[in-house]
Amino acid sequence: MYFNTSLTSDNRGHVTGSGMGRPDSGESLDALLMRRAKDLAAPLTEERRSEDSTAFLEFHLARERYAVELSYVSEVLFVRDITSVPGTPPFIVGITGVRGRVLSLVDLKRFFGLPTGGITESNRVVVLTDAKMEFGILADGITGISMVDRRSVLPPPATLSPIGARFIMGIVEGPLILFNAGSILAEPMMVVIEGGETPKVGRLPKV
Amino acid sequence: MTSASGSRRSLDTTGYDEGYLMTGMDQGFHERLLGIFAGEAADHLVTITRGLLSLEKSGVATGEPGLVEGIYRETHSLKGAARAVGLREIEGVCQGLEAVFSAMKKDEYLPDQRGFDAIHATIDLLSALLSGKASFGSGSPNPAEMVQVLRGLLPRKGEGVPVPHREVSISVRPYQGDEGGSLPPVGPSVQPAPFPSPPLPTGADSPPPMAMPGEPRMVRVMAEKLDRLHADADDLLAARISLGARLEEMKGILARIEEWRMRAAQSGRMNEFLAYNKEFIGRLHRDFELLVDAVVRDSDTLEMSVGTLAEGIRDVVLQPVATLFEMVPRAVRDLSHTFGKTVEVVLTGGEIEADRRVLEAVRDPLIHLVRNAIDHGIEAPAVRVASGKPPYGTIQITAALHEGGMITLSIADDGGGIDLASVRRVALELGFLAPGDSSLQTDADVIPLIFRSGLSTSSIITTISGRGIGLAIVYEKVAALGGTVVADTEPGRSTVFHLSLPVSLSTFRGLLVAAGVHRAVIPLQAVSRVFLTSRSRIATVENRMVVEDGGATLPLITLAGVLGVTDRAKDSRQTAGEMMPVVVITAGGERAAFLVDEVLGDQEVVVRGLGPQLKWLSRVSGATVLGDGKVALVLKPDGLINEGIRIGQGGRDGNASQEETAAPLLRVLVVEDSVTSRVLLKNIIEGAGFIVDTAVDGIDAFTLLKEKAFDLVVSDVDMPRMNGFSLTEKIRADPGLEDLPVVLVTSLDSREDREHGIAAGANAYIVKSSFDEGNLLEVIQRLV
Repeated sequence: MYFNTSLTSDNRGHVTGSGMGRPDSGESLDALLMRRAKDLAAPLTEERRSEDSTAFLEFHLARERYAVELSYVSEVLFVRDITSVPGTPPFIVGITGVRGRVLSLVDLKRFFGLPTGGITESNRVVVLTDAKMEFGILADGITGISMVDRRSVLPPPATLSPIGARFIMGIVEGPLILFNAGSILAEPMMVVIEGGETPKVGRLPKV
Repeated sequence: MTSASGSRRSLDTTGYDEGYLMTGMDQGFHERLLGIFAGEAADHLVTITRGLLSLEKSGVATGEPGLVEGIYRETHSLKGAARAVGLREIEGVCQGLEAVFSAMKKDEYLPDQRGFDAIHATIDLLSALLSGKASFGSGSPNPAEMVQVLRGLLPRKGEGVPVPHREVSISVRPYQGDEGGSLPPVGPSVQPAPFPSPPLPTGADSPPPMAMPGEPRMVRVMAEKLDRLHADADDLLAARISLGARLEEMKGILARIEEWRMRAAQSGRMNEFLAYNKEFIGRLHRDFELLVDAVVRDSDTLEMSVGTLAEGIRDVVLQPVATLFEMVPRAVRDLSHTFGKTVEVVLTGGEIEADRRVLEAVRDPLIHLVRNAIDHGIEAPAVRVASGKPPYGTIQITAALHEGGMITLSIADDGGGIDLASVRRVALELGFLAPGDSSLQTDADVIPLIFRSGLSTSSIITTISGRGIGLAIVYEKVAALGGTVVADTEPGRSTVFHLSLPVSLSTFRGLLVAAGVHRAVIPLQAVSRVFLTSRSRIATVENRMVVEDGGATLPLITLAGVLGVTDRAKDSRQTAGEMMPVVVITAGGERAAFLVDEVLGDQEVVVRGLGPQLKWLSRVSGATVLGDGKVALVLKPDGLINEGIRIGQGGRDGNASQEETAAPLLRVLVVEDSVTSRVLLKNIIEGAGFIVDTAVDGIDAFTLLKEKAFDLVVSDVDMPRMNGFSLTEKIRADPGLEDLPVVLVTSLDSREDREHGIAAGANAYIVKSSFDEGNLLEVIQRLV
């Protein structure tokens, strides 16, 4: 996984989670790196195994906090121009040019049927990619990168419809909703074939 | 070939079947021949180099015997060709080379490192002679000297076969001084012994070497010719369009004759002249009818064959990636000598095809990356052994085909990787990173910095981090093709660059038109005609708009309507009786006229797919990035016609059937500096049946408000240049606009802000965080 472009300085990521420390806590960079190196070099114990925590890119959407697994994020962009495309469902905002390529943009709020709760204005797009699919999702703002410990993840509420549950890995206290980027990317309803089925997706929970 | 037969004056008697002397031939013919020769010779040299490299790799003694034979024959053919066009110097050098290969063939000579170097140098000299760039000044031997060097390689008569110094290695060996760092001195001490004439291959029993059985037969075509063919095919498309127009004119004449006949039949009395006249016109009519039929048939044939031809040419432009790989082994050999490294190169995916222009454009970036890998990536053999790696480094270049018409070219080396700590440090020194900048903590964040031009052109980075200048240029060149470059590195183990490139530039000519907010491209193949019409010439038949075009009645469809966007300029133009551009589109056996806002001209466009998500759309086949960086849709002609007809029959849900609607649509101006907000607001309001215009800030909005009439303004508050409060105040202060309803949509959610908005004169104040689509529409409906 690599970034095509880096996060811009006004949305610098911060790392939270067990033992990783915060860079803005006042300690010098060297000391921080040293401590981190120590942390990382420490033998893995039952309490702290590396597979227990995963990096997530945290963003907010409609004043709620969401996060996607960082390994599915190829870049974060500012869009300057959006061209709407006839024949696409409402959750397709349009397309934009990224270095000569064409990227389709998805409004997850519309896809999940969240009619209320603000509109995006930061022009920020998180590009989700796996081997087969790629699109950008609109985000109101990028909060940063968080290490999420698996054990702190609560299951999605039972009130959630089965369809909605498919796209949510769980909820971390805060609350922070963890999107399942893998299943969003793999979702057949995300693929637009005009004249085909139009998606009806269950609503996300109000947290 | 004008004078080809006449110029074949005398046959060379020395026995070279492919050579004949040319004397007194005309200059033009000779130049053309030289051109053909240059192409052929380049081919020969490539084959010789390829053979040499594999010989060098496998070892002369152990290598397959056909290899030497093949190189020998290639050299021989080159010599013959050079003789035929009278290039004596090349012929002479080839003669010397041929002697060496001949000796190798007979096992009288096994080249060592020095020998291979001399042979490669000879091929370089031949290339230089061919390109006319040969300079025999400092250091580089002239043809005569080179022949001497080659002769010096061979054992004198009576000496035994020398033991080769060269180790048999699976890799390209580093250049080592003790193996003979320089070519042997050239001087009088070397006896210019006459060389035995090489034995001639005896046609029948020696199969053509190098060519693999089952290899597709290839034809050499000059790139310029292909480009010209491409252009010709485009011209043919244009001709087809004008033929269509001619046909319409002819049908028009036919219609006029028909009218004449009808009137003649109606006039009761008829004298002799009229009878004659009638017969005459009758014949004329019949003949003309036949002619029109014939032209229709011709036009159909032309249509079909032009389409196939254009497609065929596009296909011809594809070349295997192997043509790009051709130069890699040699470059690796030379570079590893230069930098004293041992490097093995593995090329995979050569059979994958891509646009010749793409392959040509990516040649330099590829060489640059290979050079980087050898110079900075792969460590010296001793260092490698010390770190537990094999002494020779490996560069793997892999081409692979991907979905969406892209190929990836990966250049991977198993060297020391990129020193990311230094990249970080230099980035800090150069101010790309602020000290303590936390946004670039992971390596994945740092790697892209190597493509930053300031960073990579800095000499500091070259010496420290190990990735040289020019990566920014690599990035630019690939981006210019519509591709991308990403890098990944594993410290101490490997570095890989992935170049993602379009298979085809697939440029085609399209008509760029404006329709509502869209700029869209209609493939020129489908455009039969473009003309201007006025409101008065548009009729309504059964509630559908039609227009007369060359005697035919065509359904007239608003392109903006078909694309589901509002037609910004239409209303004013219709009332003003202005001329409106109409594009006649033919596709799938149907024809329809489309009303557009503006025809912006025809141009070459490069089509891009819409990405993996938008799999299939009926009206849009792709997109193209215009000169200003904005994206224009590439339209599907058949989809447009089908959709247009469907809308006309009232099969669509209201918003596009504006032609029939009696009530005028209300016009809303959305003012918002954020593009996403703007698009979202616009979609919501448009979806409710309004015509929406957009402005990016208060000043832009006020200008638009002065230009045309709006029924309502929806504005953001926090904007550059002029904010929403000031805009509202300006509207209230303007005598023409004071009653215009203004809705402020804002993220400012304090009592003071609310009061400020109301004081400024806003009719409604909606806070973004509690924004609700229904609420906004309700407010709008109430205000208008």
